[in-house]
Amino acid sequence: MKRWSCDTLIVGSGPGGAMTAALLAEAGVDVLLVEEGAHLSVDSSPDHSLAQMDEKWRSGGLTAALGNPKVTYIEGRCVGGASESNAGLYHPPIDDVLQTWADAYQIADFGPEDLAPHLAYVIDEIGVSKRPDGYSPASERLAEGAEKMGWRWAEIERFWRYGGSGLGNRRSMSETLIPRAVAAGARLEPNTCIDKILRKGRRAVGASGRSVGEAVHVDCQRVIVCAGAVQTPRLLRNSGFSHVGNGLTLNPMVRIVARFPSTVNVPAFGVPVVQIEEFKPQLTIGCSYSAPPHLAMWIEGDATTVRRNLEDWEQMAVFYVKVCGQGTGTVRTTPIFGDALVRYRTHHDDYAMMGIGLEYLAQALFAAGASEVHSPLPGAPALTSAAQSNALRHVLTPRNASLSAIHLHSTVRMGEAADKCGADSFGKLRGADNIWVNDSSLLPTSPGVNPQGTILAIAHRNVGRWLDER
Amino acid sequence: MLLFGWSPLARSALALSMLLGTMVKHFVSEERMRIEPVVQGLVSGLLTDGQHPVPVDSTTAVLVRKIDNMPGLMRFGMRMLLFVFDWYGVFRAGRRFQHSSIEVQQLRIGEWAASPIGPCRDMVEFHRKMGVFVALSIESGERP
Repeated sequence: MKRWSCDTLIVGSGPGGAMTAALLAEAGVDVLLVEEGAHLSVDSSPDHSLAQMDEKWRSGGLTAALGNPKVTYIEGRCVGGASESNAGLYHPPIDDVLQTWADAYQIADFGPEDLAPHLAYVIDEIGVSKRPDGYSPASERLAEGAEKMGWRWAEIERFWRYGGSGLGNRRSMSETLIPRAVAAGARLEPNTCIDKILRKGRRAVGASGRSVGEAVHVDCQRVIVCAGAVQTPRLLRNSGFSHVGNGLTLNPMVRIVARFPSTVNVPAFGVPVVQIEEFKPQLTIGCSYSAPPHLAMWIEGDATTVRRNLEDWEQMAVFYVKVCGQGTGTVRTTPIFGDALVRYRTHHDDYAMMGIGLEYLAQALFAAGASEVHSPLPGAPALTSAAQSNALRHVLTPRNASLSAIHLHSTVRMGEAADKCGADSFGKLRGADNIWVNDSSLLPTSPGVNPQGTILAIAHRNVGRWLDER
Repeated sequence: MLLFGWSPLARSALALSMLLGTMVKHFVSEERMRIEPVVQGLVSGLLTDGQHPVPVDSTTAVLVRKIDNMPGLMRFGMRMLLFVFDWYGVFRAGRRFQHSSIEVQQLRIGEWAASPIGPCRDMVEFHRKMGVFVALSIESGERP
């Protein structure tokens, strides 16, 4: 058995864990940062590839929240977490959402003005930018459609650094905060899974798990759990904290394919970055990466239909509608197997909202010159004019909806409202004296925008408070 | 000895559940049940259009690997579904799915794709979506 000791054990190296490790290590704290996945370079596999799915996503990207319907989701599982493979879109949190969180969950010292300096820090230290040479033709079509409909749209910045050519460099955690943490003295242990926090009453005294196939025991003074909205509550529940893992929120997403008379699909541009802003936070409309393998997944129909459509794949692209989900779910531990058991009940209002979103999306695409918009239902005829767009409004039902989600939150909400929040206003776990949470679990609800910037800013805020109190 | 006090129905139910449990444990375990032939039949039936060559073997290998990497409960559920799907062929046409012709396989796939039972539809949908993604990724030069 391996035995390690440290002052502060941080479990999980995604955005929350990386920010926590860097700031604490730079403040002189003896930090051990453990990560279940491997330590890989940011370009160890091509973006959007099969290899990347296997290397950097939990279970090769095949994870699902059970329910009717199930919602597939992805979790990062490597040093740097999801920041190593996601789109890296940066969207500042919406002021009204922050204020609602502060009021409804009684979060102390929290609001748009309180969070602003932390967001500024994130932007300065990690860096966000727009592609200097414009965006993809599919994004241009979406922007054109929004413009013609009179809707606001925006090119979303990314955690990215664009150089002289090509796709630029991802500003992932393994490229930014983790090297800072290590340079400041933090120890990084990849391929290490912590199964349980060891306690004496309310105090954590250590943790146990496995590292590279060998049992490991860690002695520590405090534990900070940053393993994401699924693995964080799983670890805490395994450690006896049964009040967490409720209230899971996510952003259900539905995708459709549209065809244009000219080329819109240029995979070399990478992730399309235009979103329609008009209906946020309830509704986000955007475009997905649409290389042929990705495009084919969303073309409904038999093999002949798929192949026929792919003959002119350059004229087709995948678009999405994402709603700020009103449903909730839970995270538990599966008996016998020991994995996280995620369940989610999609709210009936979300089907209505997704239907409205699909109708709006189709209107925008036709306004931008689309010749066909495919229905998300197998066997349904493609729409060929804007007048048919309202056919999409009531198309989704629990039986036929194929839903996915990228952002999961709210399984250990922060706030002083003890009946709703598993942690206090700064992430300290209720029922424990020296355990904190500092990741997407803390977000009280779905923020309605890409959350990485918000998660990093909240992590920065919380660590600042802990250091002030030290 | 306690069993002697049970009704015949309870004894039958217990025996049946033990038999089923043993069957499940025996056939669905990764050591015993080779899912490759069933997955291969699904890949062929779902992706073959008679005109384009499909990398069936390598796509199957990737899908089997992906199933084996699923979280435990999902992996168990998928293997159970594949097991039931394979033997459902005997019920419908006297032959297991993996031993049927591609035309018969496509009929069975169509029946499950339109099933009122969600997990049955999901099983076919998983192989269709992930299968086409994997096959086209391999066709575009990715190593399986």
